[in-house]
Amino acid sequence: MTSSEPPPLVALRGRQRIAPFALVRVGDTAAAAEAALAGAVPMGGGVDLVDRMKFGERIERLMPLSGLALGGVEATEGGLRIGATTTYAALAESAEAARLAPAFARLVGGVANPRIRMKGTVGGSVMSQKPNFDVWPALMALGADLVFADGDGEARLPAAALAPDERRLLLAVEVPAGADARFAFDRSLRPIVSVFAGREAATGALRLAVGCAHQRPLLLRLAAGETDVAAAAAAALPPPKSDGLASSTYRRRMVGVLAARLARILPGPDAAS
Amino acid sequence: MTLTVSFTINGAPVSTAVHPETVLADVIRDEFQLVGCKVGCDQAVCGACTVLVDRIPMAACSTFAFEAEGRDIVTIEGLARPDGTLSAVQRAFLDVQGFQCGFCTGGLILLVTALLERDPDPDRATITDWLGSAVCRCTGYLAIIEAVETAARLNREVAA
Ligand SMILES: Cc1cc2nc3c(=O)[nH]c(=O)nc-3n(C[C@H](O)[C@H](O)[C@H](O)COP(=O)(O)OP(=O)(O)OC[C@H]3O[C@@H](n4cnc5c(N)ncnc54)[C@H](O)[C@@H]3O)c2cc1C
Repeated sequence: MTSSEPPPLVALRGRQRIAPFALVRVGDTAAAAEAALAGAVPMGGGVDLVDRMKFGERIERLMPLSGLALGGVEATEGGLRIGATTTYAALAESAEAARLAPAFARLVGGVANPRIRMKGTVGGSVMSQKPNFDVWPALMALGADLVFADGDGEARLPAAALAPDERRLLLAVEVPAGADARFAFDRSLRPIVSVFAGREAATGALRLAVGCAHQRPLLLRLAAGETDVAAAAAAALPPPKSDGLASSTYRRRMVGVLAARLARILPGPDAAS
Repeated sequence: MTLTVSFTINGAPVSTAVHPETVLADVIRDEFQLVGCKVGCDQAVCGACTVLVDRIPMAACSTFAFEAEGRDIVTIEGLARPDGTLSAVQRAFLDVQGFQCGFCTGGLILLVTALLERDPDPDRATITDWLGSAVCRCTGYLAIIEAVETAARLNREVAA
């Protein structure tokens, strides 16, 4: 380029480069489960993955899950089973979800925007384990299970027990019957803090899942009959992060405030059945 | 490594060689010269690169080209009829001046096209929810909301 030429306009386009990767194509869920264990990275909607790759994360082998029979929302004996590749939009519009988990469906129908909701999947949202994403902490508060491919079968894990280095393919999530009636959330301070609350049917204990405040969302449990939920939640919380958005002190206090509000509107243990 | 992807773009069947890491926006702009697909934030946030993939609005900046295999892609260049007649949404944006600098407009028009295909008579809450998929730094959105309502009316008049 000579000095008389104008500078290339491309600098205005904000293009991030994605490092090369190999595409892994699989024909069925069993092959996908095996490939995932062997290090292929599953891709649901790719919303989170593409973003991470543009910010420099290197992925050697990428495995799209589209085309596999991993989507769908169905009523089961235990509650509601949501396939891992179900998009937010499909879940929010599902008649089964509206019937069996209306509060959770309302949450999912209100995150991000319609364009993202038509691409992002429930499985991708959970497995990204990002602190600001809503589905995983919501599932923790609901007492939901994650269903992974495991050998020839399935393995169930409470949502809160998901390990940071989980490599198995997520097949579905399962919301227990009745849990949604004792579930509420407050995202009004997102992305500073978000709180998802669920009342345990048998014990009346309060499950509080806290998003945005730590490296990963986390779950607190307050015994039934706790009279000062705000103080108890704030005291039980591991040190929240401080960043340009808010201090650790503010986050801790707000978790307490939101938790107390949610506890007031959740039905008590008597209304559980 | 390259792979061949085949899809239709604005009605025309095409095949092209891409790398796995190529995003759809690059193919649309660089290969097919359809530069109405703008890359703004490059993070699936601003919506300027929105195209319709099987009539679903998607951020082309954050969709891999291989995801287009077998699908039907529509860009802003493909909305008007071959004789130049604008779609109802395009006309509505023009009539009420639902744009200023125009950078977000192509993506917005495709987004609103998808909205009205799903919900021909959306209420304000639905419109604002959908407009959350796009960022406009010029208008303050009121003119855009008016454009959506005008387009819905134009569609109804055509149907009547
Ligand atoms: C503009 C914008 C606004 C947003 N707002 C919100 C918001 O308000 N609330 C919110 O919660 N989120 C929000 N998000 C984030 C979005 O919801 C997530 O990026 C999306 O849900 C991720 O889903 P995905 O299917 O695209 O995941 P992918 O990108 O496909 O995958 C994410 C991770 O999960 C892994 N993975 C995917 N599927 C499986 C599986 N079946 N088994 C094992 N691992 C798997 C992948 O390997 C990857 O590590 C927003 C995103 C954008 C761009």
